[in-house]
Amino acid sequence: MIRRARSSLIILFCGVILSNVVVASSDTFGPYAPLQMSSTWLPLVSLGSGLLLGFGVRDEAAVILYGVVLMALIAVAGFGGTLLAVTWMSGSRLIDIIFLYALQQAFPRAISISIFGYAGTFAATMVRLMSGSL
Amino acid sequence: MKPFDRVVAVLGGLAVLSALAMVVTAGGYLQGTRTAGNFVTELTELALVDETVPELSLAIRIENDSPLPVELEMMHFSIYLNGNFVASNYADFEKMSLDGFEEETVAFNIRLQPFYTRYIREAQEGAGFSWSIRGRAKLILPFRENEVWLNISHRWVGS
Repeated sequence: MIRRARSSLIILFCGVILSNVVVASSDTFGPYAPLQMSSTWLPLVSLGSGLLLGFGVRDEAAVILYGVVLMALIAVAGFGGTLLAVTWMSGSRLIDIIFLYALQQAFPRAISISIFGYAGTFAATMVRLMSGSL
Repeated sequence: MKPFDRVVAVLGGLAVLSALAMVVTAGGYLQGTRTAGNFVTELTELALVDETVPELSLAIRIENDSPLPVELEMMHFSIYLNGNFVASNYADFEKMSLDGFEEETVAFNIRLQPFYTRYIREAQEGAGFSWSIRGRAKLILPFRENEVWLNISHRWVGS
């Protein structure tokens, strides 16, 4: 139970951190971020989050597998939430914004997070298997 | 505290900072877009200075109707008389600073090329003077010098 709670916290925290990276590296919000990031940060942070997840979760393979997907979903939801918030507050037309940015920015970033996140968890799992800790 | 708990705690701290950064980013984005949206350009004067060697004298009032300081880098526009192109202008303001709620009026004297003076004659012969100006201005916001392009479109009736 505690392991599952810790795993969920790692997934949630990594998702929120990735969400900020998605926002800060996007063309739309990047210039307004306190710390603007280049697009190369996203794969790096995804890889790091995947490694943390792989080493952090003890023996629940399913959590590791679903965790990467959940991380990506939380990150994209954070980006989408920011987009929806500013759309609502600025009174812009919602449909234009969603159509334009959801396709152009959120989807490719979700794919990027998933691929590099899986690479991180795979690497961590391999290390644990070879060291006998899994 | 176990090493694993420390990892979760550090990640939690980073997650809180990330959430705050997103709030700041969204606030900056809103402020920037509202500043660009509230930027005013208004054609306040347009006249033919000399009808034998036609030259257009025009003035555009620019107003930063927001608390955020901005810089106006350049403005270019084309001038049409009764729908016919007669002149164009490019003005490099070299990042003219405009503090919050500050306004400036910039004046332009634009000499018309001889080819286009026929449209002046047509207007004088009865078509009337209906001017329109269309162009763009480049605004620099104080967020890592983020550039915003504004459309300029004005109409002016009379010589």
